Amino acid sequence: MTYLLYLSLGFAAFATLFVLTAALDRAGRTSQIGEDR
Amino acid sequence: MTAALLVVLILGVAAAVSWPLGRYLVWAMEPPEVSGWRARFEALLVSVIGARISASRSWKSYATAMLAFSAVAFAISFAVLSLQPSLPLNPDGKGAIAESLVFHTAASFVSNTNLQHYSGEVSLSYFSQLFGLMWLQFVSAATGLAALAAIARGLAGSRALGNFFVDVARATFLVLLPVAAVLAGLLVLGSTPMTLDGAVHATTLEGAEQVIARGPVAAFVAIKQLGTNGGGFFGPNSTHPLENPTFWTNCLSMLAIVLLPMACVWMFGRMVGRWRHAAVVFAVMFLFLVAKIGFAVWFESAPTKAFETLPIEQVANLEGKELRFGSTTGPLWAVLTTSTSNGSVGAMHDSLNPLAGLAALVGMWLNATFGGVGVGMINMLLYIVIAVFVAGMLVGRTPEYLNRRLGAREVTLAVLAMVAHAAFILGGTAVFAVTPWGLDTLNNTGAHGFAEILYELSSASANNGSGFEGLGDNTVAWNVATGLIMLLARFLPIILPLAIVGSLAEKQPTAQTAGTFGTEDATFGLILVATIVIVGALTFAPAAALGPIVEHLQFLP
Repeated sequence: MTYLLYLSLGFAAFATLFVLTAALDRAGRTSQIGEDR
Repeated sequence: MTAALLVVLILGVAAAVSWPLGRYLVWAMEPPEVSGWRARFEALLVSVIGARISASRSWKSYATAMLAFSAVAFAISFAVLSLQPSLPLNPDGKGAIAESLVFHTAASFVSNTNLQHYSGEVSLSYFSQLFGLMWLQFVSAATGLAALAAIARGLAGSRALGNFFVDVARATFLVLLPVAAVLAGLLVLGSTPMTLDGAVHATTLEGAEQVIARGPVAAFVAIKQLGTNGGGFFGPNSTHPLENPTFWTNCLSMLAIVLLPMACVWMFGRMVGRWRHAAVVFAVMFLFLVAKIGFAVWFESAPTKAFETLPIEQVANLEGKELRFGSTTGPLWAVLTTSTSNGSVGAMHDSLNPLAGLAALVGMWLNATFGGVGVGMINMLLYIVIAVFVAGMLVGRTPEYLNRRLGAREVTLAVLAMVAHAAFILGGTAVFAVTPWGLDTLNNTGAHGFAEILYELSSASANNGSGFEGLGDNTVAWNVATGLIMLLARFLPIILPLAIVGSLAEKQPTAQTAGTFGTEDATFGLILVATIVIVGALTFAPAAALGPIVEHLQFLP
């Protein structure tokens, strides 16, 4: 059970990085639209 | 004189070999046109990975593939380490590993850090060493090389940055495996063990029973050095006589530590079509490396204060050194390993005189001279972005880098990556220096104890993996904190530069004019040096003052 908890902790770190990547991409698209205008 | 010769030999040979190796890296990672067996290799990659999956991707897809691959690698390593007692290749009957240590070790090896809170010969079976850790030493280093290749493609003007899986396969099979095989062969010739037989049970001259651990050490050491991994097969790492048996293996190891990070700079320069720019960057990195080595060797030439009152001849600081290889090897190795995100050790870093220890810390704080395989050059790119932007603004030149105008977004992302590195180190140190999580694990108090905490967190955040030691770090708090830091600090400084390149690739290329800020001359080199010094000093000088500097001053008469 404790092993699964620690495994989840690792996945939580990766999930954070996935979310950050998506957010950066979204922010990049928004700023690109702003520059195009 | 001998000390200087050793430094010149290691750095000179490494720098000379890095040039042709850089050309080889370009051939491996970005082949201009393929034919013969290379064409068949590329076709095999596409057929194994799948035509749709192996297509060239945007920065976001590239980063997502990297994270997905690393998350799966983390899970596999975690499973192997957790199930150790039930798995084969365990002739010495190694038992279960504590849960938090499994998490820490899997995070450590997937992030190319190899920070070890265990002794391999005590805790791990051969199966765990080979299939839980060693394959990660290959693919984690390949991930760094792949990321640099992707960034170079973007800076060369391509919106599609390549395919992560294809790049990792190229880096693993065309670069790391063959070079590591050659090095492992040379290490075996230097008496490094390479066997799957269990430990040797010997009887000493006094009649005592001695158990001598061994295993597939040469294979492990080769990739540990080449891939800037640093994780030792044995607990004492390269201070162990079977992990580093002779002066020959010692020199080979030090060469291997800096070889690929140096070659990565040339690979980057060739891929972006600006080898003169790469030469300036290489010179700046080399300058910092030589300065740190000179600093460390100089301060290690003074005797340690621990021996000052003893009735012995006062010579250089010999405590914690592997004296078979001479007293210079200790500080030289310490600087090489901390400057390149490697983390293997050839001496006890806790025994370094305070300012020599500071040189090791500076290597991890800057993390870009030459840095890890691939990621060292990526980290330097962050300094370059800031240097070009600030200097361009100061002198009224257009802040452009490789024909793309740098804007607020690119600079913000670069600063974010640097702030994250500093926050992990300084924030973590602040927490562990005032709570039982850190205080209860110290073997020294005062400035040296503070330096031990600072070093551990610097090592985790820089994905270095070396230990200052003197710290009881196999606790739940240390395992969880440094485990999380290693994962975040590994991928943030890759994702953010990928986003920078993605942003630059969307911009229209600008023509090189008289108003463009040059990045291929000595002026740029000086500005880059100043940027690194100012950013590094502003960020870390207070922590250095509380640790190694105050410790040095305490010993002054």
